Parts: sequence; C-alpha cells; structure tokens
Amino acid sequence: MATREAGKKMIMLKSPDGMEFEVEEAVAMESQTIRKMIEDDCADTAILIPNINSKILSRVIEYCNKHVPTTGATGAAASDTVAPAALAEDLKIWDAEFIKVNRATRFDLIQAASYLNIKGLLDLTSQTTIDTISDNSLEEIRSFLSTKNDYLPEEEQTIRRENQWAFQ
Amino acid sequence: MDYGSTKISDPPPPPQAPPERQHLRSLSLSLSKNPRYRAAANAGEMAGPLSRPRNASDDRINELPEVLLSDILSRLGTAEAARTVVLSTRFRDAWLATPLRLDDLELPVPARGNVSLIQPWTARADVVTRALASHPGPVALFRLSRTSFRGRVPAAEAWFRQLAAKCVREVSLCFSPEWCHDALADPLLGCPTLQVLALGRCHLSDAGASAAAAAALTELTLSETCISEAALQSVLSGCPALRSLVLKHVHGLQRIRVSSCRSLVLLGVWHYKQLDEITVEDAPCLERLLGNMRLNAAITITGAPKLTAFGYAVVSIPHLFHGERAPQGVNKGLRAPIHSVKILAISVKFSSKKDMEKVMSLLDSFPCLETLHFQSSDYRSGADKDYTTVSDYNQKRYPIRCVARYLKSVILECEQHNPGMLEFACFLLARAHVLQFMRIQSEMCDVPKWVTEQQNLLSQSNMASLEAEVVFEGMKQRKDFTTEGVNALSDPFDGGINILGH
Repeated sequence: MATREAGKKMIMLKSPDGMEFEVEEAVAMESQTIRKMIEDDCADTAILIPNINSKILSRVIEYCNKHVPTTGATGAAASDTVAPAALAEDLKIWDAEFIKVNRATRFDLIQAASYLNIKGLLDLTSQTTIDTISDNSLEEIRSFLSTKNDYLPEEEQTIRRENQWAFQ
Repeated sequence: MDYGSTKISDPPPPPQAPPERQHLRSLSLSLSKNPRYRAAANAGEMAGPLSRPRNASDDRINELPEVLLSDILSRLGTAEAARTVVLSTRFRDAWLATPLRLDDLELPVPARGNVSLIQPWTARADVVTRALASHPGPVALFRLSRTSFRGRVPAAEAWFRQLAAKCVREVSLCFSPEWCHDALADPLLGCPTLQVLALGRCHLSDAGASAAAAAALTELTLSETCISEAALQSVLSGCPALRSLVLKHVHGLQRIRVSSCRSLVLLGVWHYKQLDEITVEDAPCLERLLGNMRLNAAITITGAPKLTAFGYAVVSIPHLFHGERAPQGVNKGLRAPIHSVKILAISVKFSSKKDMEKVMSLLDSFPCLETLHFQSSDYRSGADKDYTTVSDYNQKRYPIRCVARYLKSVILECEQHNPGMLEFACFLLARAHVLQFMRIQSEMCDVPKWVTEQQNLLSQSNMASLEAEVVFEGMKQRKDFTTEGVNALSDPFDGGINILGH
C-alpha cells in the first residue's frame, strides 16, 4: 500500500467510550475491515469502532503505525536509511515488546485484531497462547489460561478415553 | 506478568447506533454470535454444583469467540490440539467444531514398551485410526509421512472411506510410494470437497474411477499408483477443476492421454518404464509440461496455446532397467512443432554424436524458444568414441531458426569437465544473434584454473551477439520437486528444483 503523496489524508477513529483518534488513512487501512469501509465510501467523516475501548484501540493504532509499509508517521527518519532485513529484525523486537501485556489485554487485542481484520496483529497476539499450549502440561495451561475444569467426572473420563491417542 | 488483577468490563454495547455504527456492529455480531459457544457456556452453567463459579476477569479465554479459539486450535499440532479437550467443555466443543488437521508427524510416537505384541509400524497406523475416529469432521488435512499401511491395509481403506464421508479437503501421502501396499483408494475420488490428493502405490479401479466426482480437486499426484488408461480418462473427466496433474511412474499406463482438461495448468510426467505415447489435447490453460519425457515415446500436443515451458526432453536414454525392452527403432519424439514454448529443458549426452543430432532436430520443433536448459547425462567426460567436435556442428550448418532469432538465455549444467558441452556452447554462441546470457554450471567452477581455460576456449569462438554475457557457476544443492515450489518460479528449470531426478 502506498501513501498518497504529500498532504496525507487523515481519518478519525472513534471508540465507544468517546475517545477520538486521528490517524493517517494508510495506517487505518492496515485494518482490512476499515479499508473496506473506506473503499466502499462508508467513511466520509469519522468511523466508530464498536466493542473496542480506547485503551485497546490506541494499542492497535500504535501497532498499525509501526507496521504500515513505507515511512509511517513514527520512526520515519529511521526507516529511510535502514536496510529491509535490519528493518524486519527491528520490527520483530518491537513486536516482542509490544506483546508484553497482561493476559486480559492480550485477549482483547486478539478480538480487536480479528474484528478489524489485521492479520499480522492476530498472528502476533495468538502466538503467545499457542506457545503456552504447546510448551506446557495441561495443569500449567489451565493455570496460565485460568481455564476452569467444568467437566463432570464421568464426562472427563469419556473424553480422555476418546482422545487417549493424543496423550501416549 | 499480571494475571487476573486487571478488571476488564465488557465494552458497552452501542445502543442506538447511527448508520455507519450499525454497519460495523453487524460485522462484530456475526463474529461473536455463535450458537455453539452459547450452548457450551450454558452446559457449563448447568453443571452447577460441580463446577466452580465462573469469574469473567479470570477466565478470559472463555470469552474469546469460538472462531478465534478455533483459529488458535487449528494452529496447534494434531495431538496438542486434541489434548486441549480435557481443559474444559468449551475447549472440547471448540476442538470438535474445528476441522481436523491430522499430520502423523504431529502424533505421539507409540512407545515400544506398550506395543510389544504388535509391530511398531502397525502401532503407528492404529494411532491414526483412533485419531480419525475421535473427530466428527470435517477433515482439513490428512497427511502421512511415516505411517506405513503394512499389515493395516483394510484399516487404510477404511480411512479413505471415512475421509470421504468426513468431507476431507487434503489427503497427502508423502512417504515412499510402496508403503501404500496397493490399498484401494476409490472412495476419495468421489469426495466433492477434496482439493488436494497425493497417492502412493494405491490402486484405483475402473469402477471407482468411473464414479469419480471430485468437483473441487485442483491438485492430483499419483506416484506408482496402479490405474488403467481408461480409468485415468474417467478420473480426468470426473475432476473438472484440476489445475495440476502429476503422474509419476504410474503403473498400468502404456499411453498417457490428457484430453479436455480445461483447467489444467501444470502436467507432470515421470516414467522409467517404456511409454508409447504422451498425448495432450484441448488443454487451453496448460502452461507447463514437466518431467522426464523420453523421446522414444510419441509426444503429441494440440490445443495447448499457453504451453510455454517444456522439459526435460530426455534425448539420451539412460541405462535400461531390468526387464525393460530396448526402445525400438528411431525416436518417435514430437509429432509437430510447438510454437508457444519459450522455455525448453533437455537432458543429453554431449559426447554422443547421434544424440546431439537428435537435439538439433528437436530444436526445430520449438521455433520460438527464448530460454534453453541443458543437463548433461554423460557418465564421464569424453568416454564415448563418436565424439562430436565443433567442426561437426559447423559442417552441418544446422539452420536452427529459434537459435538465430529468439534465443536469449542458455543454461548448461554438467558436474564434471565436459569438452562436448563446451563445444556445444561455442556452437550456440556463434549462432545466437540476440543471446544475452549464458551460464555454465559445473562442480569444476570451484577450480579457478579450469574456469580460465574454459573462458579462453570460449573467447576463441565467434560471438554472434555482442551483448552476450557468459557466467561460470558452481553446482547448487537441488530441492525436491513440489508443485508449490515450481509454481513460484517464472522459469521452472531455473530455481534449483530437481525436476529431472524427481
């Protein structure tokens, strides 16, 4: 996606708790959902983003700002001179910092990424959960995810028996 | 990390939404409004006294819409995902609702102690049987790389039936073809959801093939599969969406006829047995014909206006396999020139005069060639007696239209020192008026002295094109052939993929 020459077009995003965020159109269009709205001309003035509070929305915008191709509003000077490989490495480090959030925020970010259809952010936010499940015992996963075992004892036995092949 | 202390309230639902707000909201509802999730939550509540009370801020993963939980499960390994079912009823429901990805590399390896009474290979197959039975489908992927059908052929045939019933999308048998032990794979041909199918040495019956109705199948690979000529015809007409067809050492075919495959883009034909005929008719989308096509088969291509890449044409027939009859008479080869082909790959013994003459006449069948790849099949340099020399080429004054008018790049490959190949390079350089690039690949390129010698030899020849650049390069490690890998290349022969030896 190319930024449109000089006078960059700005878009107003509103969260349901009344906060307004002015962002470049290119940054907002990192979200395929918003891109579609802009392309369908549903977004002449401000776009209301339901179900995503201002705290989460501001983090999402921060992510899009960083990931928008070509020189974004932030770190413009840096990306002019750095090689693509180094830039990718830099982004990785940035992503790792970005995702150091508590579990509740992470799940909110997953939902926001899914709703706004931002693939990179969805991959990033889901990966922590995937790693947690891959690398830990069931008890550890339960405690990490705070998932309660709501099985009746017989139910649990049945499902354990049916999926025994996965535990060998 | 901070667990649980953050109080997160649900975002307030927008009550009276203005128009654009409603537009957005309807999208968001479609994500979170999920009957199965609700059912699961209710089931949890009804478990009442036994389950501990839920706490919203504590149990955030339970608030993820099911599509997102499904998305997470689908990124986990086969067994990892299946183990999450014991976490909670919600995970169980999500796993059952997520299409199964069954990859045997992601299954636990049966411990030897537990299977002392049965063979380890059957133990693997038994894990696959249980895994497949535990999930109601649909099945997104069924990929086996290390599970032989040995001793479990009836079970494998039952998998194929179940997979068809469970709306499978991809079945890939990636192990050595003989591990299939002639299992009957007919049911898969009738599966309308199947998109990718790769079989080993399975059997496809005539009756099964005539019932083929795989409307969504785009990629079909048969390796050593047993199928009759008539059955292949039936399969092709039952799979109208086929974009890629790879026939590798298929048993039971004397002739390969591909006609009216109107979506076909890639056709692969590898054969070590004697083949009489390769015929392609009415393939309006066909762009590539790849494999090792020996010219003692009659090759006829009509109605393929987009065919741009062809190869390898195997000019020098390698040593015969035991029990194979020697090719009779002269090469039948190509029946008519193919004007659309721009990229041609040839495998030949440069040291054989007879074979090089065949190359010359072969080039006449491709009047619009722009790129030529050669792979040498010489055993050892200069061993053959009827050794071609530059003077031979020059005396004949072969009038090769494509070389003179269109040839832009040439790649010549031989592991060892090969004087015959270099003389042929000189011959091309002297005649290719618009040549831009020639690459000579050899293991000898690591020896600077050798490179200098070859460069000196080349510089003595006339260069018909002033712009031609000649480059020497070492051999590269070749990657295994895959449809994906080849599709990603603009020139299928120039990406280090092992096409000839596939």
